[in-house]
Amino acid sequence: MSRLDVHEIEKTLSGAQAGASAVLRAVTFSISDGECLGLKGSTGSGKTTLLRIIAGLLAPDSGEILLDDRLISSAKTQLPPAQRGIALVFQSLGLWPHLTVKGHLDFVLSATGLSRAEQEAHCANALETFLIRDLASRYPAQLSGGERHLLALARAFCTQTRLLLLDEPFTGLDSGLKSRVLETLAQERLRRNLTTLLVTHNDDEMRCLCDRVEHLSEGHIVTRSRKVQNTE
Amino acid sequence: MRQPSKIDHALHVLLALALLAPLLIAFAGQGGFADAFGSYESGEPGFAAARKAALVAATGRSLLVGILATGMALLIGIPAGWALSEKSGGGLSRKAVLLLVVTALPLALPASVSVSGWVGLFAPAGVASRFNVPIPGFAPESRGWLFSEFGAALVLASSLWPIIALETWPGFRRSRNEAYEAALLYSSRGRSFLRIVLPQVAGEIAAGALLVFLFSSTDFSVSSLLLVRTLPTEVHDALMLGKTASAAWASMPLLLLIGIVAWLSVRVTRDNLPQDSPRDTREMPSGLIPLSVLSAGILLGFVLPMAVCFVQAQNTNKPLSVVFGAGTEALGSSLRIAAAVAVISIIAAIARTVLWPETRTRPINIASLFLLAIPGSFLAAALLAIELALSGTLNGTALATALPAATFAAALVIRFLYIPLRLVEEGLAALDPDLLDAAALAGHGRLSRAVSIALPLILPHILAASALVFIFALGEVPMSSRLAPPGLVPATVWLFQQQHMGYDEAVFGLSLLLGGVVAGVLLLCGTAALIILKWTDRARAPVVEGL
Repeated sequence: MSRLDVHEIEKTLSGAQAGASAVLRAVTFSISDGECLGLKGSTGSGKTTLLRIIAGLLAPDSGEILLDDRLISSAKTQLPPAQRGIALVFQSLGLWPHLTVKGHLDFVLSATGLSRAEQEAHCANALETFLIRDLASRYPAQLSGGERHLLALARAFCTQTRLLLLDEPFTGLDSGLKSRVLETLAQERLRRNLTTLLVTHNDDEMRCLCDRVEHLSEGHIVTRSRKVQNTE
Repeated sequence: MRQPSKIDHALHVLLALALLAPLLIAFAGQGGFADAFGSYESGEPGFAAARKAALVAATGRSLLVGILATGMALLIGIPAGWALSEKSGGGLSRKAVLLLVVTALPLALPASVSVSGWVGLFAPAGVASRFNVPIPGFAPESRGWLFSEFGAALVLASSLWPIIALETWPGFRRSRNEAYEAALLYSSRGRSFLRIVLPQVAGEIAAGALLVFLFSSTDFSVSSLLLVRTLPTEVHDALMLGKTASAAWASMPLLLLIGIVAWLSVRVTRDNLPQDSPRDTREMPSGLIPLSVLSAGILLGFVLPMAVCFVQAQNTNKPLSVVFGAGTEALGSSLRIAAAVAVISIIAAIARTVLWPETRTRPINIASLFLLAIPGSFLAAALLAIELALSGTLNGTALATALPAATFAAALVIRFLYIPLRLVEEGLAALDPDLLDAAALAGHGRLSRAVSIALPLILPHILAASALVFIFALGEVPMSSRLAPPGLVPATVWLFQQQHMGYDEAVFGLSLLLGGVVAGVLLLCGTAALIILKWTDRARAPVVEGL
């Protein structure tokens, strides 16, 4: 449970050939404890850049980001990504090809300072929750598309995450697999009351997970706090 | 890509055998097993045992130099490769090409030139000949740390680390993706590098380390100049006495080692794990340490030796004509020979492309890597035996006159054949198979596909190969010292002989000239590669990868 405040974030990226271009212009929004915010926007509108800035993988040119009222990002201050307690599920999933399913969770848990027994318990719990216990010794290349998504989610949930960022995480899944993964994610998110920011183009995903939606266009938030009408 | 047919395999094996077969002839020359291992001196008790012990000790020294140099090269090469993967950006800008050229400078600097710089800096009085003959009644003169296995390994590592950097940076570049970013969310940058990035590039690191080990354990020039009696120096001494078979037999421990390592280095994983697409590297700075190590490596391997040579050449207060004049004739001869060898290598690379545009040729590469790594003196022994046999047959004909020069050029071509073959393979492997398949569907035969599609697209690789062959042929010592035709003294041989007598202004002058030539050739090659890549509209494609 955490609150995220994004204030006046600006970012300009310099392309290899096209020169510099402003990606984010004075982006401001907040997500309250346990809330799930959906962020929509066309390709190139800066959604992924925004997620990477919140995660600490990019520094903003100006503006501030606060997590539970603690400054984690500004033009001058950059808390290292590993110290933010933020999990990000990438569009490509970002799985480690040389580590097994269990190896993924072990790597994440080994940096938490937990005792070995506690790490094992967290690992077993995540494997169980995300239905991949039987796949623990497999490598990413030996998993199906749905299983790979579940592994990415298990990695994100196996520690005490304060904020979950999802960058179009269901791309490439067929509808059957997607509902299975979405259902597991929604249940676990609600159980933990986890503050979440979801970037997606898909309205069904928004309806399933989000409490409200903002729209990002040409670097600006243009639609404010539209409540999601859950039809299901 | 087309799978190699049985005919392809048979042809590859035949070519490999044709390359390796001449080596056997060396065993038929003067001397022999008994001579090499001292067992012919049956009347002298203990001689054979002492000779064998000397060879065992020399083999041990070779291994020690190889292991130390590989360790040091890894310490520089891995951070340098990581920094290179960020700074080169994966595309081909002028800055990226310049960075790759500058990184290759230490590797291009001839070993004897490198020794000039190191001796000039740390042991200005370190003339090899002073230590060889102990003066009766005087305690042996201290040689200093540079004249030791550690010193030889340091000089070799300062030259060879770019092999590891150039082997690994494409792999590091691929690993700068969302998987790496995911690791950064949970772990420090250093731990993410060690646990997530390094294991994915283990194959490239191992291949680079094996190459460095091969070159350093079989090095002759540096070990000889720094008075470290390794096995290649034993082999060379036997050859200089005209005992080709003794040289061949004395090479056996190294040949076995090289055979195993050559086989391993080709077998080492080239099967890259499936990875996400790399991100823009400017978003993932490597940090100050890798960049500092890259700069220090270039400083250590090129800038420092060149600066020392410059200062030493300046300090003599002699006219420039004296400083630079002594070795210029030798340099001219070397340039001509190296250019001829580079041209023949280009022809070999083109032939390889035309023969097998869609397949890889591992059997040839194991053989050619083997030839690149064996002691140069052993290869010289083999070709000298052939030359002697042929000169008897051709005696009195016009061909007999041209035979020594032809043998010398052939030796250098065979020695460095691995480079064009390897780079051509890298180029072909990077080609999108659909390009060749589309040409096949349009009715083009294998030759037409090779000439019209494959060749233009791998021109930068061929160009890089020819530049490297030129540079390595220019700096070669053990074969050149034995096979250079009468009246021709290659620059590095001239330098090598002078260095054994003393480090004077002429040594530093020629060292500077050689350094300038290799730097100029690399810059020219980089510029030409950039022009070709822009012409073929591949400015966003990966740069020439691998060695």
